[in-house]
Amino acid sequence: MTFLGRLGIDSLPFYSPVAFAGAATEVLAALMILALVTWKGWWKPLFRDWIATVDHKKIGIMYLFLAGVMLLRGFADAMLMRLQQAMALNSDGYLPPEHFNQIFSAHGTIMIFFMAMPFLTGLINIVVPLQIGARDVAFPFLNAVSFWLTGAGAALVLLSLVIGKFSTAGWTAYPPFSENSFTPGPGVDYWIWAVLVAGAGSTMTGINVLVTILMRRAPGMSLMRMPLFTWTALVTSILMVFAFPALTTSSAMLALDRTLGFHFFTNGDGGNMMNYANLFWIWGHPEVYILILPAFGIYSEVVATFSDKRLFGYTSLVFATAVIGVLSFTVWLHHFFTMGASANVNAVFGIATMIIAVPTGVKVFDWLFTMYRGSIRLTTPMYWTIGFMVTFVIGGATGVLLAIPPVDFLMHNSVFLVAHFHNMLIPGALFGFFAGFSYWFPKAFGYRLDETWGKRAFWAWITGFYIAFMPLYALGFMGMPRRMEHYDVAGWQPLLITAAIGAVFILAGIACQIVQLYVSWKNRESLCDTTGDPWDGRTLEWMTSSPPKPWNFDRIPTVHSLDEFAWRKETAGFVDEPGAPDVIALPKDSLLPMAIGASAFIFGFAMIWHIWWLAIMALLTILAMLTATGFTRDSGLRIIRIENRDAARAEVASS
Amino acid sequence: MKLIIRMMAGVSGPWTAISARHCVPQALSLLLVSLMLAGCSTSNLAILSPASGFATGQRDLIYFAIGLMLIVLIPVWLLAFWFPFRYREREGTRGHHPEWTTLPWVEAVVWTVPAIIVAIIGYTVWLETHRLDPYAPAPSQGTAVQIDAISLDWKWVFLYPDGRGATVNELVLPVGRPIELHLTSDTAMTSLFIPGLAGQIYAMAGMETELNFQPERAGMHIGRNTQYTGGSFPDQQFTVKVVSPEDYRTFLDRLSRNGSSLSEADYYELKMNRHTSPVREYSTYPNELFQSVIDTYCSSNCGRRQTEPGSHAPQGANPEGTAGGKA
Repeated sequence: MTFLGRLGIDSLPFYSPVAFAGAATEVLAALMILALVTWKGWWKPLFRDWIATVDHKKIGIMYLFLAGVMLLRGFADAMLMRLQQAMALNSDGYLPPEHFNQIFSAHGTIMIFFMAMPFLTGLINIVVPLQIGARDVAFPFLNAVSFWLTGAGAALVLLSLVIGKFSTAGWTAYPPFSENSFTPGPGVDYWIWAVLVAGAGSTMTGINVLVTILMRRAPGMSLMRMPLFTWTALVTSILMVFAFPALTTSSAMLALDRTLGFHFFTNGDGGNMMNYANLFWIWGHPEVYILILPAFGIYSEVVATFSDKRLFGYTSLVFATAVIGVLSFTVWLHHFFTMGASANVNAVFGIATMIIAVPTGVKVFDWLFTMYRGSIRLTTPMYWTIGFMVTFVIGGATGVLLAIPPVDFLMHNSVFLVAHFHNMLIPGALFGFFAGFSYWFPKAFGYRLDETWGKRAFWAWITGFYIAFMPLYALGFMGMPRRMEHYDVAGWQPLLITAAIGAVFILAGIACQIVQLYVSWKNRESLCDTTGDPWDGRTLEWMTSSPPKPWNFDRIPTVHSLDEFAWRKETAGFVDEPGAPDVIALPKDSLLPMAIGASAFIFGFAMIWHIWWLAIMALLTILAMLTATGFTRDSGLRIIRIENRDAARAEVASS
Repeated sequence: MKLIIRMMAGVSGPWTAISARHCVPQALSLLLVSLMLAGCSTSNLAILSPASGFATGQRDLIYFAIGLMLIVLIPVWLLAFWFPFRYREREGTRGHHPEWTTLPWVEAVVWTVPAIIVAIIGYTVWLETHRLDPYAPAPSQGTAVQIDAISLDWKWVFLYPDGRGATVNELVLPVGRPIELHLTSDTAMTSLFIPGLAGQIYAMAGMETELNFQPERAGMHIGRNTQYTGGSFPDQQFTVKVVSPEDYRTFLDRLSRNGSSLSEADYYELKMNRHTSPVREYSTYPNELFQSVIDTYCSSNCGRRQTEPGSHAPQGANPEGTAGGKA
C-alpha cells in the first residue's frame, strides 16, 4: 500500500461527461459558497451562531438546511434516471451503465439517509422540546455531535461524485454483488462508511429524543397529555434505538468482508448473503416507520389546528402509533418472500404485514373525523395533509398487494414495487415534512411562508407525483424490472416518457418551493409572526415567542390538559400561578461536535481509500476529543436569571 | 382487465363530481392511468394475462384484494373531499362543533372494518400461499419435467432432463405438464422470473431453489433475471417457448442430434465471458454439472435436492387446488 492508499489521479471522474459535469457543478457551488461567506464576512457569525451551537432549534434548522441541499442532489439523480429510461429503448441512452448504476444507488441512499432522516430529525429537534415545555433536549452536546456525524456522512456521499465513484450496488448494497469479487473499488466503501457514520448519529439522536421525551416533560404533562407529534417522535426514537444497531452491524460486517477479507456474506467460504438480507431489513422495515411516523404526527397536529378542533380519537391514534411501532419489527421478511422460505414462513410474515394496515387505516379515519364538524382553514399545510390522505391510501393498498406472497412473486423487483414505496415515502413522509415545514417555519424563523407559492408547489408536486408514479404501477403489470439501464420492449417507452414528464412537474414543485422561500424572506415584514401563535395553535410550542429565546420558555408552563395552549385559551378566567423565580441553565457552545464530525469524515475517507495511517490518526483524534469532553470540570452551564417574568404571563392572558 | 378499469372508472366518477374545484389534477391523472391501462392490450400486461395455473391464481388474488380494499379506499376518498368542502371556514360557525372529539361507535367501526378486511385477506393469504407455493408441485396427473437452471453473468444455462441437452438463453417447455425448475447461481444472487408463466424465486450460489408451474397454453414468453447484478443486467433475459408435447419431443431430438456438447471448458468459458449470449444449444452436458456448480461454493452440508433455508418441507399437492385456479 502506498502513502495515499488506492487514491490516484485516475480517481477523478473522467469516465463520463455527465459525471464530470456533475462533479464540476458540485465543486463550483462549494467554491462559490465559500467565496460568498468570505466576501460577506460571515465566517465569524457562522462559527459563533451556528457551527458551535448546541441549541436544539439551531441544530434543527441546520438539519433542515442539510435535508434541502440533499433533496436537490437526490432529485437531480431522479431526473437523470427518468430521462435515461425515457430514452433507452434499444439504446444506451445517454448514461453508461457504470454511471446509471451509481445514480440509482446514490438516489436511494441520499433520499433515505441524507434527505428524509435529516428532515424529520430537524423537525423533531425544533419542535419536540417546545411541545413538551423543555428548555432543550436531554443531551445538547450529543445532539450537536449527531448532527455533525450526519453531515459527515452526507459529505462523503457528495465527495464520491468528485473523487472516485459511488456504489453501484443499489441503496441496499446486497451481497454477494456488493462484495469485492463483483464490485471492487471504493464505491461500495463510500456507501458503507457514509451509512456507518450517519447511522451512528441517528442512533444517538434516537437515544437523545427518547430520554428528552421521557425525562424533560413540563410538570403536569403525563404521557397521555403529550401532543401527537411528540408521541410519534417517541415511538420513532425507540425504533431508531432498536433498529439502527442492525444496520450498523450489517454494514460493519460488509466492511470487514471488503476490507479485511472476512467471509460473512461472500459466495462460498462459509459466507451467506441471506444473513445480510435479514439483518438489513430488520433495520430497513422499522426505518420505513421511522420516516413515516413523524409525518403522521405532523398530519395530526396540522389537521387539529386547522380544523379548530381537538383530534378525533386521540387515544386511538396513540395506540395505533404504538402498535405500528411494535409490528414494524415483525415484518422484515416480506422484503424477500422470493428467497425460498417455506409457505408457512411467508404466510406468517405476509399476514403480519397486512395487520399494520389496520392501525394505519384507523389513523386516516381519525384524521378525517377530526375535520368532521370542524372549521377548516385550507392553508398550505392542510393542502399537503389532504393530498396525503387521498394519495397515501393507494400506496397502502398496493402495499397490501405486495404483502401477499403469491402476488409478491409477480411484483418483487419490479417498478410496481418502486411505485409502491415512492407512494409511501413521497405522499406519506415527504408531504408530511413539507406540511410540518410550513406549519412550524414561523416558529423557527419568526415569519410565515408565502401561501400562494406554497399552494403552487403543492399542486405541482401532487400532479407530478401521479404522472410520475402511476405509469410505474402499470409498467409493473407489464413485467418491467427496476434498475434497468436500457430495455428492448417498445411498449414500455410511452409510459416511461410519461413518468419523465411527471418528474418535470415535481421539478416545478421544487422550483416553487425555492421561490416561496425567497418571496417569504423578501416579505418577512408583512409575514412577521409577532404573537408567537400565527395559526391559533393548540400546543405548547405556540405559547412562546417566534423564534423562541434560547431558553425556550421564560417560565416552564404547568400542563393541565391535552392541547394545553388551546385549553388555556378556552378556559375563561385562567390565571397562570406565579411560581418560584426561574434560574435558567444553558449548556455552553462548543466547537468539539463539529471537530468530531470532521474527524469522522476524515476517518471514513481514509477507510474508503485504504489510507491506514490517516484512519488511525482520525480515530485517535475522535477518542482524544471525547476523552477531553469527559474531563471538562466546568459543567459548561451559562446561567440566566429571568427578571421580568410578567411579560410572558401577559402574553398568555391577552390572547 | 375490464374489471380493474371499471373499478377505476367507478372511483373517479363520483370523485370528480364532488370536488372538481379542489382535485382536478388528481382526477386527471387518475383518468390518465385508466386510459393508459385501457390503451394497452392485455397482452402487454403480461401479469394480467397469465398462461399457467399458478400465474392465474396469482393474478386473481390481485383482483380479489383490490376489490376488498376499495371498501376502505372509496370512503376515504369521498370523505377527504367532502369534509374539507363541507366544513371549510366561513361566516358564522355553522356546523362547527369543536367538542365533537370522539364517538365510541365510530371508533369501533374504523378499527373493526379494516380488521375484518385484513382478516379475510389474511385467511386467503394463508390458503393461497400454500396453494401457490413455488415449491409445491403443480397439481397435475403428468410426471414433472425437471430442468436445472444456472444463472451466469449475464445469461442463463438450462439443463434438460436425463442429460438430453442444454441450452443457453432459451427455455423450451411442453404444454400441459408440470415443470419443476431447479435454480442455482454461479454468480451474484439473481432472480428468475417469467411474467405470465411463473412467479420469481432467487437463485443463489451454493444453494438450490425451486420453481414449480404448469403451462396451460402454447406461446412465447420472455423470462429474465429481475435481481440487479450490475453490468449487462438489463440483457439477462431469455425466450421461453411453450410448445405442444410433440414439438417438445421434436425439440429434444433435435437437441440431442445437434452434435456440439457442452464441455466443462465450454461452461467455464461461458461463465468467465461476462456478457450476454445469443441462444446456444448443446446435445450433452457433463454429468452432475448442476451439483458441481453448487459444490463450488458449498463444500459441506448441501446435498442434492436439499434447499436453503433447510426448513422447507416438501409440499404435497393441495387436493383442492386445481390447475387454472378459479377466481
